[in-house]
Amino acid sequence: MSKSLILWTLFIAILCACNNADRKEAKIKSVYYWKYNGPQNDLDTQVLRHYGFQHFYVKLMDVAFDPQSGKASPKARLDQSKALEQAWNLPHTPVVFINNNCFLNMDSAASRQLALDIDRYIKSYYRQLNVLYKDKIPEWNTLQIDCDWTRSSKDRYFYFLQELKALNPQIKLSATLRMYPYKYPGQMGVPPVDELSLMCYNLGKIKDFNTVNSILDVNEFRTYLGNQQAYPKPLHIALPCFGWMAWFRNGTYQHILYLTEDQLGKAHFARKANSNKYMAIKDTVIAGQYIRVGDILRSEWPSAHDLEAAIDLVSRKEKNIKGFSYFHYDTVLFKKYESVIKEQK
Amino acid sequence: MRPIFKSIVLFICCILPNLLWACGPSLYPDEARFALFRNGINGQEGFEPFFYSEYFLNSNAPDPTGKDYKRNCQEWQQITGTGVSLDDIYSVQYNCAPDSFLNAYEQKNWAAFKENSFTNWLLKKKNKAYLDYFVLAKQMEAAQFYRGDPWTASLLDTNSIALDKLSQTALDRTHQTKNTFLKTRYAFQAIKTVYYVKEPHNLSPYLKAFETYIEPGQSVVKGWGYYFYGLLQQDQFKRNVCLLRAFDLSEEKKVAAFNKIESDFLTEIIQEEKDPYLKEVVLAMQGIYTTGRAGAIIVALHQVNPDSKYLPLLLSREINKIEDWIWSYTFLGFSSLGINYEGKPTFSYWNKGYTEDEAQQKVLIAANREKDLEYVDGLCTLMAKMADAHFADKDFLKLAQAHLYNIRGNYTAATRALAGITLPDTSIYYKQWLIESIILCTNTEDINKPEVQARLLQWLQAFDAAPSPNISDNEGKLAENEDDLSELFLVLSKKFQEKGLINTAGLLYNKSHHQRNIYDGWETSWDDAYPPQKKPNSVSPKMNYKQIAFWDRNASPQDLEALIAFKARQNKTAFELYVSPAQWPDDQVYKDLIGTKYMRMERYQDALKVFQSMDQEFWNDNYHYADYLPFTGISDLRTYAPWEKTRSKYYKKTSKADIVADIVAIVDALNKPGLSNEQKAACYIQLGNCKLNMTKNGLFWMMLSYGNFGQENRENSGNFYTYTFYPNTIAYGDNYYGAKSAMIAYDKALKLSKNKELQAAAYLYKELALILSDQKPDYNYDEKRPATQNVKMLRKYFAGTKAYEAAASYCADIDL
Repeated sequence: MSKSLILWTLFIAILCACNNADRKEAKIKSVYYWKYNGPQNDLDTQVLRHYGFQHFYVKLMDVAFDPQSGKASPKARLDQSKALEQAWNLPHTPVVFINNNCFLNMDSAASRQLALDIDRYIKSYYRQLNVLYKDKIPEWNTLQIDCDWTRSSKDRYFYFLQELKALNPQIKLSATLRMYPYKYPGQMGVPPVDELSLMCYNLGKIKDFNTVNSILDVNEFRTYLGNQQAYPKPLHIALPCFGWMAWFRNGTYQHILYLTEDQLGKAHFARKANSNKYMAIKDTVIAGQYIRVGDILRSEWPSAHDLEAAIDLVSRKEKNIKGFSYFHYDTVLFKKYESVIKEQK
Repeated sequence: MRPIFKSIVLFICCILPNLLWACGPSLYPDEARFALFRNGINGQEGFEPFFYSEYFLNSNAPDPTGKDYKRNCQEWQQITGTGVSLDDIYSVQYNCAPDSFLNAYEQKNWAAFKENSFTNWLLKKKNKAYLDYFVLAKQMEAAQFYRGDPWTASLLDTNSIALDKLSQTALDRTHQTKNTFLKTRYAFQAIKTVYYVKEPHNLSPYLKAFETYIEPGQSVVKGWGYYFYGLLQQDQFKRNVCLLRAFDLSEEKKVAAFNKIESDFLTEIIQEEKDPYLKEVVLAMQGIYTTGRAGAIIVALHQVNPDSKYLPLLLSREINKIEDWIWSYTFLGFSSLGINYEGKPTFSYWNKGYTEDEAQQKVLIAANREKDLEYVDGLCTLMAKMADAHFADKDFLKLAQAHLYNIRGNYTAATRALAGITLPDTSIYYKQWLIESIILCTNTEDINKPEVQARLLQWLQAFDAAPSPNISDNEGKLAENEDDLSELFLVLSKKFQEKGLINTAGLLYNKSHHQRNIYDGWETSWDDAYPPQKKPNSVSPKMNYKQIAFWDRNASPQDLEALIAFKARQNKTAFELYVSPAQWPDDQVYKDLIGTKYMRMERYQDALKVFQSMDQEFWNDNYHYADYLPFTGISDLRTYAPWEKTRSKYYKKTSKADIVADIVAIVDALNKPGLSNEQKAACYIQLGNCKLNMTKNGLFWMMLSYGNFGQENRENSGNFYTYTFYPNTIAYGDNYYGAKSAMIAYDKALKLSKNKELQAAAYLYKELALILSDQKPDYNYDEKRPATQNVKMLRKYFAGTKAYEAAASYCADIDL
């Protein structure tokens, strides 16, 4: 074979490889809508378009164990559909949050009953939505369960998921996955669902003064990724679009303060060099709390750079990523992370 | 993990299993707060949710005494006449489920209500209009609290349709009825019910009805109505103004209105609103929201209305804040201020925070205390001005002034403030007066005098016996007002301690049972906390650290001897009987502490005498001695010292007496005449071993201490859940943490001996003492350790000895 033929063959092969790369599956960009009391059209379709969100998750209900009745029961529900009036007909996934105390307190029979109850609730919800919006709301094709399950609740939780799937074999069942069970699938098990949303936040201990950022610390995040193999299920990657301040007095954790760094006046707070910690230099009342001189506020706002680094790290490890989602829908906070959200394809 | 380090960790893990919580125990809000100024002493019980608290609200129960409900019943009684009892009205209004009433009405079967004078009145033909009203009200109640299937969505909300119809009916009847009383009631039902309708069609007739029939009147429903009327307003400013009125006019809606008011608008309202009444309420609300200093708000409120009912509330809150900022530390050791016993800024290991800027932070934190005291002065001046000008509740103001002066330590001024007050024991202020009197007495009189103690006793007993008119059942067990007597005991204890009367101070301290930020041990049975008649079936141990914690920290052996004598004394005064515990600890408990104190002083003969005078089974049967005092000899360092081949001793039982007897024997041997230098050196090695074994990381630490916590070190003064040797650290820390005395003994052995094996052993023991003490050189376990002088000597001169070889082969902690 002549040299030129070899070169041509190589060139065509590279070209084909590039085309294949271009044809790799596009990632879905989603956002979580996590409010129950939003005003009319709070989930603005223009905002969704602006940031390129093709899909959203919406929490329909919080379920917790009721010690009085000994059963799992709804604790909060999205009873007002108006906040999503324009958005209901867009691709979305309903989410049900289940407090882990349900599975810690219930047996298998009760877990199965919970699957039946939730199924009934979701069906009635979409039936009523179609009454309200004149049959324009598409049937949901994915349902997500959000639960901070633990090793001791795993068996009942997984059984619940199996039963829920059995009731609706035609829909995709999704579940959220915290970083710990993600890191230890052998010990914690792999939920019997079609896909999972990996929650890349709330990694650290907020009460520990030495924690850098309990929401997302890239170094901490890296330790969760480890050197193991890719997770054995398709993943959606959920990233934080929120933050707060952790308040410490004499190194002892007091409360979360819902403040941004911009709200800390220079007259009252001094930032420690190269740190996300602010020290009160003047007594002040902020966010309803009396902050004394010497108190520390640790800013726990992940930076856009942190999000980019997290995306990069997880993308390098996981090959079966179906999409990226952002927690949670807040038009003010989106601006802080606009570069990441808009650029992420 | 290196063997010695591993063994230390295992050892410590075994010692205090109860203390190894993952995150440490936590306290309830307000549990670590000290407050002796009683909330609500002026009878404003409706403000209970807004008393100063570490919770967002002190309680969530509105109208704790049911004032509004009673007022509503009284308004009905004005219609029915006194032939109908208030209780019967209340029963139908608030205790009767809507279904019961409506079933009786629909089935015309009132048998269950036949004893109720109010129902009988309603059923009279002439009162049909009132019955109709009541039926509608109960229907509304049923609809409002209707709960459908929780597992079916409620987007269509059929219940809202029912509420819509009912509210329309109520509105129609508002206009139809000629009865003014019923007009007001229907208008209220209409506006309340329409609020719960999800999408009402037209609100304006409902709002109009409220404005026409409720707003001009003075009925109880006016305050309630303002709440719903306000929430239905589109205009944010007006909405908040109405909620302010609801907050002010009603008791039952106070908390709800408080929660709904947007605090950001308070400043705007105060700027725009000219009405002094509204200004007053806004200022009150601002004061309640202010978790920091609210002095300026109080001044403004006093200017707007010196008779304001909110002034005592805000002043009480302010005093409670100051108590929290200053007294919580002084008496409980819980504080935002890191200041040690000498008043210097400090940090404890468990809450060590901003280490890099510690120096800066120390200065800033110390400044807080100064500023707080200055603020107290400012408030004292403000109150004096209020007293000179006009203040509706003079007694309240005087007691508040006295309390602030007491906090400030200005007892002359406190006496002056109290001078004008004469209160009967039925007065709501009586308990506060007693508090001020007790504080004043302890600070201005000789509390060692029997007559002063008799007066204190009289006041304490009066305090215990006096009712607490403003404490409702809503307050939880830990609510701040409930622990005032306990806090008074701490005030007295501190003062007795300052006077050097340690035993009285300790007895009062133990009587207090108040949670302090210092390790006092934990109750292991009900006996420790409650007198025998209250205890459930439980085994009471003879010894609990709680019984002696105060004396362990503060008493001398002589104090404890005096305490044993006091315990046995028959002719105690009434005050002495009062401070005595319901159940005294066994004498053995005190004796053990005396002996232990002698051990710390290295007065081994004295310790032996005390221990030998005790029940010899005491250590076997009580506390943790049997768990943590080993049977191997006191001079035996076991695996710590693999070069030591002689294992001399094995105790038959747990006995401090036997252990000390061995130490005394070594000391006696040393003092024997005619001993050779080599024999003496061998004795010093043994004595050094005994002393090293009684250090914090030694095997017999319990000979000197009553606890052993992993992170304990000589710098920390402990906290409420971790044991510390402090303040014994000050006198004995060098030996207990630093193994100083053991090292001195080894040095003496080195000086006396010419024997290479013994010298090698002495250097090895010295190195071991260094490792077990807090003087060990700082290094990472991954790194090569720097060689100490001991190691250098061993390498240079003793490498060929058996001791050296044994240490090099079997002792990983000494890096040879």
